[in-house]
Amino acid sequence: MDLEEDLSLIIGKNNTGKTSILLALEKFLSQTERNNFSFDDFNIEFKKEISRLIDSDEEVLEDKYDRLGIKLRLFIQYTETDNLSNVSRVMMDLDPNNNVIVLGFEYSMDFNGCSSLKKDYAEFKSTEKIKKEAKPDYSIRSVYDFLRLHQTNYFKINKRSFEYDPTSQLANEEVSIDLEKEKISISDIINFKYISAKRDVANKDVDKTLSGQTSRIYRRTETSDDQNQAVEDFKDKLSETDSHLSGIYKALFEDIVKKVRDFGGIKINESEIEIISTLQHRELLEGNTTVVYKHDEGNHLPEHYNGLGYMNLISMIFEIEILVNEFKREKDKKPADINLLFIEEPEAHTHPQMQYIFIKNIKSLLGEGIKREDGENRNLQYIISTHSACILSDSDFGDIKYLKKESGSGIIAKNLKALESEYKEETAQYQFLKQYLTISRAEIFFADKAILIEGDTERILIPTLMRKIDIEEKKKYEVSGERDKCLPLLSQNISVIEVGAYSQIFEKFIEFLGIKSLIITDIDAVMVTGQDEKGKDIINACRVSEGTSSSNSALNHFFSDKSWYDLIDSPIESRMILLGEASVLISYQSSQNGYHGRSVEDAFISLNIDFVKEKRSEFRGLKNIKYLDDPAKDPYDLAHDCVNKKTHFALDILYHSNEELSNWEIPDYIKEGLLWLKKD
Amino acid sequence: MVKERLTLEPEVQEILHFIDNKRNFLLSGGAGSGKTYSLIQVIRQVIAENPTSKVACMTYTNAAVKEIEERVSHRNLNVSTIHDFLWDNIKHFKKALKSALIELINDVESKINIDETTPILNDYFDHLEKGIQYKEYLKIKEGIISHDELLIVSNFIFEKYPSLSSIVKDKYQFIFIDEYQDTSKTVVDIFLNHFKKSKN
Repeated sequence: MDLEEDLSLIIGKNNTGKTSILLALEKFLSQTERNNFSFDDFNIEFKKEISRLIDSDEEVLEDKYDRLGIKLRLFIQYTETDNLSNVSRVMMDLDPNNNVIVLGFEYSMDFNGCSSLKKDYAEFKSTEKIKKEAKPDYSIRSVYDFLRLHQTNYFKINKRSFEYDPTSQLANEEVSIDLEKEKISISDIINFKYISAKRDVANKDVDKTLSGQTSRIYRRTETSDDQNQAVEDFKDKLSETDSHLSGIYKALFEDIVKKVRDFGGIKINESEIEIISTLQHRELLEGNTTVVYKHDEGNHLPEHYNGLGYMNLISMIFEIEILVNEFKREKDKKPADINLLFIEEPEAHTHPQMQYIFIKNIKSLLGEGIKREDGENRNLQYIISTHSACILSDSDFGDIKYLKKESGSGIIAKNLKALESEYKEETAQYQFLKQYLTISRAEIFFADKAILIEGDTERILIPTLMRKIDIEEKKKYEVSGERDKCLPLLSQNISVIEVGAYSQIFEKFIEFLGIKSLIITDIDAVMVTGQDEKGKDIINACRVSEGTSSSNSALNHFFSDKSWYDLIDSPIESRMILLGEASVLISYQSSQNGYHGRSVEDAFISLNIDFVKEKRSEFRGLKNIKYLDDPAKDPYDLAHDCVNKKTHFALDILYHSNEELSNWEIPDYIKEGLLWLKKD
Repeated sequence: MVKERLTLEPEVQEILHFIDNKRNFLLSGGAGSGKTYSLIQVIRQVIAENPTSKVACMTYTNAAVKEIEERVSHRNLNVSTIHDFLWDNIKHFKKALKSALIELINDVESKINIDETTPILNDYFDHLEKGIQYKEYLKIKEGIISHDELLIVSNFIFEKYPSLSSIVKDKYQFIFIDEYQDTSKTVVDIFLNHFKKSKN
């Protein structure tokens, strides 16, 4: 994954590893020496592999052994103007053309670890067996149980600096420095902090998250800047209050002081006590500051009276403030060269409007970077992971890193910027896509599948069509007694986007996302009806049966090699194409019950003429309803002459459907398409 | 708090003045005239005035290192012998070290020689697991160099790679050398000539 100078926005569907990135960074880069890894940090394939390895009788050979474990490689690029003082400890090449440092982190098991693990597990296994023989109801602990308990004995953290090979742009795994052995700390090179999605915000009465945070901010201010006038003033005020309070206490506690004195001691004055005020400036803030919301003059509401959304937003700003202060470090220490802040899913517990505010302002909040009084300022690089379309819709295309599942179990991080080069000369197309997707259809980045439709009629109809298919499929499986292996369409994460006649613009984008997609479009039959004065053909829309070509730009783009007759006659298999790893079905009207539709409307009317006739007086989107009884009018005429407004007609269908959506049928081409999309 | 400069000895103040103007300085005096004492005063003052800067102080023997460390110690102060200082700054550049040593061995003018009849090839040291090492004894065929060779190799590398000088200057904002009169010319060359050629 390439990180940007300031913001990198990591997006991806669920389970594409957004949190894993955070965990890996945290566990390897946190300054504690403690081993934070647990067995469950290994991925499932790895767990299987390692258990197979240690449970088998096969000898592991040293020269064939590769260190097994979790690896993190950080590639750090520096320029001539950078201060190399800290990185010089890990630099390995003086060649001026090589300006990359590779830091490698590993949580892995070396050969010796592996052999002793095999041995120890064999022992464990045999004792488990003995236990089982002694106590028949004993349940034998598995290899996973063993590893969960003991993996830390075999897996070790290892930090190295690797030589960088500028030609292959990879690390040379053969040449490295062991950072631990050389006693090189990377704390001056990279400082990593994060805000986890599990923030301790809840608007419970007792909870005073924000108020608690004020004391943390104060504590940071105090250590980082002892000259601060405000802090001094605060302390002065406190001692003033102390003497004032001590006077009050005297009166207040006079009684008890007297009793103690009267109780006496061995000598006079021995039991003389006094109660004085000692306000501790830090503790004072801890329990005694209350963050209130100034609703208007005279109306201050306690923090828990406010919505969770606001609390979360404000809490996050507080938290960021604390961390930015921590990045500054103590006065006699410079900030690290790289300061990396990870904000995990800021949208958690926040409603869409708040997310919008957050992303709009975060860049200016963090753009300042780390500013110190002595001028040792640093840039702040920050990563925000999200699966909120709201956040995405207001961010820059260039900042986005898209996590994509590859075939198998791998995941790669792609720069959305890379798409630009895919579009090469078609910059206008790229600009359109960029705007269209971020402004109105950002949710497609989080979808598992997509449906690309032409326009309004489809947009209104598609959700209902999906529901109808779900109902029909459920019935079908109930009758057959089989189990449906796929989720119902409406339970799947499918994004529907209107693309008009521009679906071909989305070709490279679909390929980039690699998601299964259904393009629903129209055959748009046309014929030559004559010539104009210049002798050029005049082309007009017509029935498919009369047509000689299609005017649909998407069809002409995707099936440029097909003749008109192949196009109208083709079975579903030949309407499928592959874009990279994404399979795409381009669905358009085909002949059904002896009629070949040209648009959604005529395909629907041809199939459901009785339904339309029955409801004709109630349909608002129809005109010339007498034509419905005219035998000379075919569905093409009816769609042309009777449909007054396409969107109204689509709404009429929904409005007059029965509860089971069974009083009309879906045209085959759409039905086939949706059923195809349903499969995984 | 930072100690007022005015309370310091005149020669220390003068040195600090040179430092303020970003000039090198040479402090000389007879035996027992208090040069090391002045040096320590300067180091203390520099650290007090620049709490985040790193300071290197080099001297000739390990005994002298110990003596200075006893008198002034700070997180940002690195006291070492000249040899250790040089080695510490070049040891990780394994590739550069190997090629420098090979080039020097094959150069008849240089004082580093090897017992081979023909010039050695570029992969001569590639089989060494630990690369070039610096030790108390010399075993050039195994890539082990000693004190004299270290100075020659260092000079060569600093000359060839100006970026190394930049790195060392980024690392240490102040470099002090004690017992300058005993320092070999090859070393003086590094600090006075090669350093000047790199950026800033």
